Amino acid sequence: MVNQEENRIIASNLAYAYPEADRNAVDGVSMRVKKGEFLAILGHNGSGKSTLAKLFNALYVPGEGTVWVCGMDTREDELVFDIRQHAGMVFQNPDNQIVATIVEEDVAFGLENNGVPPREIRVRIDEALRAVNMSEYAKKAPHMLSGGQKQRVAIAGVLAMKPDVIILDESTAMLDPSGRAEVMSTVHRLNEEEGISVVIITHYMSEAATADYVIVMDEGKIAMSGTPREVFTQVERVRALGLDVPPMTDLADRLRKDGIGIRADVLTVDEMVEEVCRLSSSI
Amino acid sequence: MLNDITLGQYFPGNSVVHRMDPRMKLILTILYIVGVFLIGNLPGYIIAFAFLYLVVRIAGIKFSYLLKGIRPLRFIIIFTFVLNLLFVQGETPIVKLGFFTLTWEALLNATFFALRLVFLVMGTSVLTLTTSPVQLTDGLERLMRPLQRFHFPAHELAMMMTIALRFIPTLLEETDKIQKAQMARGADFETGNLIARAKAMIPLLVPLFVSAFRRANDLAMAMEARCYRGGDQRTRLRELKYTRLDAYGAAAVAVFLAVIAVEGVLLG
Repeated sequence: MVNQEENRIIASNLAYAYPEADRNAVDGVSMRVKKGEFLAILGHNGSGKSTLAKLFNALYVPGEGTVWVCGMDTREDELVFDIRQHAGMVFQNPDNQIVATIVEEDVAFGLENNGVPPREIRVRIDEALRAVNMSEYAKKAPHMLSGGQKQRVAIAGVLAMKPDVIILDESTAMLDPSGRAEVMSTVHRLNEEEGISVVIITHYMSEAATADYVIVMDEGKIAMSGTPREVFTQVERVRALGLDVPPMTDLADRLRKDGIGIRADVLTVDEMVEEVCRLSSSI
Repeated sequence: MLNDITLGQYFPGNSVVHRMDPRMKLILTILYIVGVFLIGNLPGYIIAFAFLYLVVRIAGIKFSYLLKGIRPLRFIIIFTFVLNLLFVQGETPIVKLGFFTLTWEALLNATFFALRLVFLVMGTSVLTLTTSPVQLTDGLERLMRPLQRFHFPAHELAMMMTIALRFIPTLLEETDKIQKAQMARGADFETGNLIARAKAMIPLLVPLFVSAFRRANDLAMAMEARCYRGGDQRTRLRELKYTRLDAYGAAAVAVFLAVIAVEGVLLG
């Protein structure tokens, strides 16, 4: 068996079909999420990426194959709540995942469900709200917050459970650019400072470009995988899967087609600036 | 149109009444209403009114807020008043109109019945004005907890109330959005008779319901993902504690009930 210590999530030959669907939404996926890794799962609509996320949290139970979350098999009923505590999930719509009428009570929701003593809950929700920079909103009503703030509250709710993995299922899809930046910087900080593994399901290439590892899904299968550089430099293949490449990679690709000898593996604006400077100085 | 829905008419404050334990406030409100229903003469109602007025002053609420609560019920109150006037049999006639005789007993009875309704509304208004919906839900859940032994879904009811409270602003906002979207497409919500206006609500309500069900589905999944498994062994962030204030409140209501009882015996 694969080493459980170094991997937070291991999926082996996973298949799942929705009831009454004629094909598998997830079809033969094997992958893993390493300790402290920042993983992005990409794919167009209906590629099975969200289904995959729900399999990691025991919300869905695999039809075939196995998922181990921190060494626990998601098919075992008595482990379900342990699994959900270890692998927390943040969903797409910020309005539809906040349960309580006050921010701090919502952060406490998961802990209350797990029967954590009130004094301990207090300590952990204060910590969690501080970690997402939402302490000053602790007593506010959720509907007074912006989308990005609501998502940060949702992240705090997951964080209070002291998870090993946080899964963000298109959590930035409904946010404006500033809300998206808020959420992404929060998640990156948690990944770097707390060593929490992060899985983001997204269709924003710029978000995937900052990940350690990228998996591209198509028709329920893994179509491509590798570091962002390895994946996005295959511009034609990525486009054939119905996805864009990050804007700077796209620009580099076009420049190359015009005969300019720029590196093909440019991902970020900074790298592009560097490349352009290098080129202009060499002329 | 959306601004005048005052569910949860909480009036924030920091008075003694506000700071009392919601459980105690619930119990005392019930006791007060029971007391009022046992009153059988006019001086009794004056005492009940004086007590209520005192509580409202201590809570720092304008008395007009209480009267506002009665307005939506004015038809029911008038209706019960007239009904009692017509159908209570009495012996001391005041006026005779054809085959209908208005008796003194009927008038008294009708007045008392109307007064009871008025006090019922005002009494509960004091509770809802001084207790936030969250506290109220908490208090209700804990008061009903013993009933769980008889399979009464206390936790589930409280959870439903919390979720309803949480989603009221969200759905109001959404209604507003849908309304504007439909108006931009030429929908008319304001003119026409009652039936026409009710019909105009259909393009508003259908999308609202569809979206509400989708939200419910999402929320259920989010709750599941956060280890929700019903009320058993669940702890709460905030624990309710009785304080000295609650003892004072209980004493005040006890005195009120005693006065009512003595008054009833003396004048009864």
